[in-house]
Amino acid sequence: MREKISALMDGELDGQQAGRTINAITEEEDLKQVWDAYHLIGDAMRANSHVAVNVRQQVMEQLAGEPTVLAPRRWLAPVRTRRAGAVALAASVSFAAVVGWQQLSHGNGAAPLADHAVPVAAIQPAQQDHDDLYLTAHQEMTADQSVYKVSYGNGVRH
Amino acid sequence: MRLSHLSGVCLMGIALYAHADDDWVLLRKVAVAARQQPLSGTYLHQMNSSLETFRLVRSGSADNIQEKRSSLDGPSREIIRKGMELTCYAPDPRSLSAAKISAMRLFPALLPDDISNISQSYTVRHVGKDRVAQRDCNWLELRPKDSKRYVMRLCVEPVSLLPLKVVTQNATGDAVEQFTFTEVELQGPKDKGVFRSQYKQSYMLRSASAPQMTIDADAAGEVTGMPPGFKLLRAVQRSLPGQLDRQVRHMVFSDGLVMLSLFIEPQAPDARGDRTVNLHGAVNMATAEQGDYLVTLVGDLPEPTMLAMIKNLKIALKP
Repeated sequence: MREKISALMDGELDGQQAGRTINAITEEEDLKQVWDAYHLIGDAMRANSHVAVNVRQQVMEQLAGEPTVLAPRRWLAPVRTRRAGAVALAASVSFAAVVGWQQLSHGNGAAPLADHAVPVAAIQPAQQDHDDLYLTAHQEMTADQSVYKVSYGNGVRH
Repeated sequence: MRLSHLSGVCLMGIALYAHADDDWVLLRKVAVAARQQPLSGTYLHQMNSSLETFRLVRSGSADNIQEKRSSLDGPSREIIRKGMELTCYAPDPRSLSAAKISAMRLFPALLPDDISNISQSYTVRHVGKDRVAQRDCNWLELRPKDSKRYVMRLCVEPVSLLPLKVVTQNATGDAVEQFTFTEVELQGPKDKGVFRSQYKQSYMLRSASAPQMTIDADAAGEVTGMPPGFKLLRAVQRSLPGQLDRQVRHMVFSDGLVMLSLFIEPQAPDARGDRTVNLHGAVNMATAEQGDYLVTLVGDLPEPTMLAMIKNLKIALKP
């Protein structure tokens, strides 16, 4: 049964087998614990490995596969399709979570780069160098304003 | 100590009701204290989305001020002032160029030495009390008369008149750049050894001898159309740093509060057209073609203001 739960998590069971396995999980407390534990392991692995590409791919496949399965089976086996619907919902939620998490972690990674206090903020590096020349020139002439007192006073012309 | 605090509060209380002229006198004293008050402190410098921290120590008086500021984050930098002399130090060339940029803003000395021109373009008023670095302070606001320049607000410690916090705001009241002490003692370090640098690379921004650059006689007539209140301080023919073959006319203007550099050079074949760039905190740059010339403005003014200024300039350089 454990293999079946594992297979269910990996999306390898077909509709009927998945239905039976899900029923078993809901009925037996032991199996529910196994199901929870497997999810916990999965979460832990994803949290450690920073990029959960595998999960996303499986979820994508499941998403791509499910709508075509849902529609024709509805009037044949309404109970099971509700389950499949639940799985689809769960899949969408986890997909959203993965995408959201990747966006979030991407954002965190980029944050230190945004700190461009020194030397100067500009988008194009080549242009930035050139702009820096003007900034440096400006700075040389205005570095400490007490200079002006002297330059007013000495009246030197050239 | 308590008595001096009390008298300081009383003085500021009197100043609150005093005539605006007295406020300009007060501002002049604030400018002096900002440059000369002995102190040991730490301050934050925030601009755009970045934040830097510096340690600042200063002792001496009048013409013999010794001052060292060291960056506590980012590249290692030290900027040391000895009287007139101003030098940057760093462990490597890259940090040294960062140090030169950091030397643009020598907080708390952000007010010009000569503010005689300032009342033509700005009004000054008191705008309430605050607390900065565990000290009470009073806000002074310099507001431009034409709303095209930045607003500067200084929170001034009532006894020493040292600015503890300085905020540059745009027209909508957002802070473009700000400095604030997080802790400060109003006395310098006892050990004079602290004013020596620990780094090998250095660049002298200004020597102790007389400055080399002055206004030449013809300069005043070369550019017309600057907004009212801007006075020409200097005009030189120079090359941009590291580009000896490229001669530009560099003129420095001031409205009594901010410095504005005007660069005039022959139209380059690869000109990029009119544009503006934020260079550093409140320092912006605007470039535009003006007749046969490429004109660049750099200074503490909002970008749209600078672009509009360029359009109004009339340039008549002597060949």
